[in-house]
Amino acid sequence: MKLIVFAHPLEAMGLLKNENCKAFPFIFQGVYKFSEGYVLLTGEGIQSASESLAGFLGAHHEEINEIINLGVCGLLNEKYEKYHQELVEVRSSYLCLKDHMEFKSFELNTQSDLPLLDCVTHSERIHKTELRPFGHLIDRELWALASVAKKFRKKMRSIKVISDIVNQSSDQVCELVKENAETFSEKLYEWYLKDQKKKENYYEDILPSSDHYFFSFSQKKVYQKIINTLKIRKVEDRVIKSLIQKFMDKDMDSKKRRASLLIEELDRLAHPLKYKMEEELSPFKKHFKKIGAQAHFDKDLEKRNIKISMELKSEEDFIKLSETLKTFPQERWDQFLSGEFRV
Amino acid sequence: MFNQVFIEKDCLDHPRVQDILKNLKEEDPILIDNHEDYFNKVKKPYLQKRTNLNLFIAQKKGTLIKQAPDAYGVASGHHYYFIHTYNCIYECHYCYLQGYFNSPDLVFFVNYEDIGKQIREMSERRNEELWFHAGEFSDSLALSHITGEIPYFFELFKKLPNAKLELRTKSVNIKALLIEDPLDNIITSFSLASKDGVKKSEDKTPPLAARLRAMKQLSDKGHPIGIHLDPIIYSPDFLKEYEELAKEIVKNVPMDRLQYISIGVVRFSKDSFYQVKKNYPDSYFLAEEMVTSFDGKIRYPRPIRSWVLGKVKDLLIENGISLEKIYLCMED
Repeated sequence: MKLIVFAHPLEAMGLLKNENCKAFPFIFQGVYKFSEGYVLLTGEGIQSASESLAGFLGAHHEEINEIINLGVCGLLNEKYEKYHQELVEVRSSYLCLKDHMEFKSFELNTQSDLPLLDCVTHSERIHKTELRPFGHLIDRELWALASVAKKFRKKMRSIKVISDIVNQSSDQVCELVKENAETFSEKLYEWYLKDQKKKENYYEDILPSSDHYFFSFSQKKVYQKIINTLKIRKVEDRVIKSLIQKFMDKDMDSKKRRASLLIEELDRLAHPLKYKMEEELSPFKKHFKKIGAQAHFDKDLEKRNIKISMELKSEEDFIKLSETLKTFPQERWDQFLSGEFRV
Repeated sequence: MFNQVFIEKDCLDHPRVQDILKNLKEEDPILIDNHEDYFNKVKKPYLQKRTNLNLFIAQKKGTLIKQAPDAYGVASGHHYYFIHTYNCIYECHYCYLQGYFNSPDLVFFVNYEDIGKQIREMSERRNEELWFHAGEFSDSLALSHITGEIPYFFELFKKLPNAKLELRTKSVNIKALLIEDPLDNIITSFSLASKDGVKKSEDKTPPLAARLRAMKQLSDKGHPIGIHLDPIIYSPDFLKEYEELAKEIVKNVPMDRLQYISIGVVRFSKDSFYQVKKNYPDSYFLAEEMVTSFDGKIRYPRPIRSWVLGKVKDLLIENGISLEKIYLCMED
């Protein structure tokens, strides 16, 4: 579900009216429900915005998969005057507390064809040209919203209408926004409608049928990671699909076993060097295994050290271990670590 | 090229600043007190260099010359780097600058005289081979037609026989160099990768063929050349690709002009690796297993990188490059 966040009711008018939004009973006022999600009116300023969004997400975060902030903002840089009273999408969000720029910034999830600009959220109703190096736009809430959204690991977008240009007094700005409130609100709603019509292109993941495979939760994660690596390697879908089919064709009584084998085979395809290393390590392991000892190598193969573990029950065991250590192919081990092997 | 140019008030009248503005055709710069009030002050996403790249023109204060890390350059001599620019216009997916600064914006420092003074003092005080590297935080030549520092450094190093200057680049912006008479102690070094590697990981840089041409032009004119095969990135075809590259190098650069070839395997600091994954999640080198290595950097496991380095070294030797000219960069 979506959560559409506005600071002021006037900005939200278009959506509230046209989407038949109903007031939603919550701890505080300003929450509405409609067919595609919720609308939240936060009020002005960073404190109000963060309190409202955090409060709402605390109760409903599981339902929300996308947050969209819609609203008006000011323009700091006259160079972009052509966008006055037009829609823009915010790319990055910065914060200025009185005269201090906060280091932390947030990247928003930009998707539209609108011009992409950066926004400074200011703790006061103020327009300062000194902020131009940091952003093109100025508002009062966005950074707070982005900060809370990140805390809840939610993607957030922000679409703004530029209502006014730098160097106007705050009274003039308020007047302007009020005068054009309906137009701005309609613009924001029109964008929302248009955006909803766009079909997102989801990458079709290759998921084996549950009729034949059973993946545990952690196996699903491993599987997804391997598939991502294979995509980076540009391994074609048909290769993956043929492996899925290969194990489906094999007669197996356990879906779990089939899933494990598939993961291993895909992992070999994704990480050939890793398996090559294991292959090279195998004779060194065997050297100790034959007397019942286990060799443990540095997991990253950065260090030359080998740890040997073995239960010594008799004098004979001591002698066997001593002989095995003496005959360990040290030179070959050094060569392997120095990269002397065939790939 | 730049969304907005900012200039520190104190250097507005510097003739070099006026030249830069003229070269950029910039008529509307914004004056500021100090670039540090803005650059690095907030976290600006790296990929905004594509759409919202700013330039700051400033004077570098504080340390101008720093000691280079171990295994940074050829084994002989002491190595230092100087800072005259922050950041780069190219987009190499593996670039450590992604995790180094908090902004992709460029800063040009125009007070070369201060850098030059320190280089001169160090070289005159110490009777030993000193190397000065330009381009630790930027490409040495990519924007030199705008910044115009090449004649200054040629004039400086002409009088410092025990000092060497390395100009590290991926660009083919060699006009200013071709005007200068070659000096034995100014080496232009080109970072090269296989043809496919350049295409896949070095966005906005000149293609390999153009870099080879630039190397040939410079060496034909008598300029000493260095080569960095760094970072080498493993791919199933990398041996074939590097064999072709070795042949191209030998074809384009006479061996008496070639001073050295460094070879190094791709590596990342933790911060850079995080940024690389964020900025270029589909980069092919992210498909390989990497581990935290001896110096805390993220690399291929030791046997793999030793194998890669050994193979490339063998290829270079087989193609006629002498072993003495090859050194391993940033390896233990």
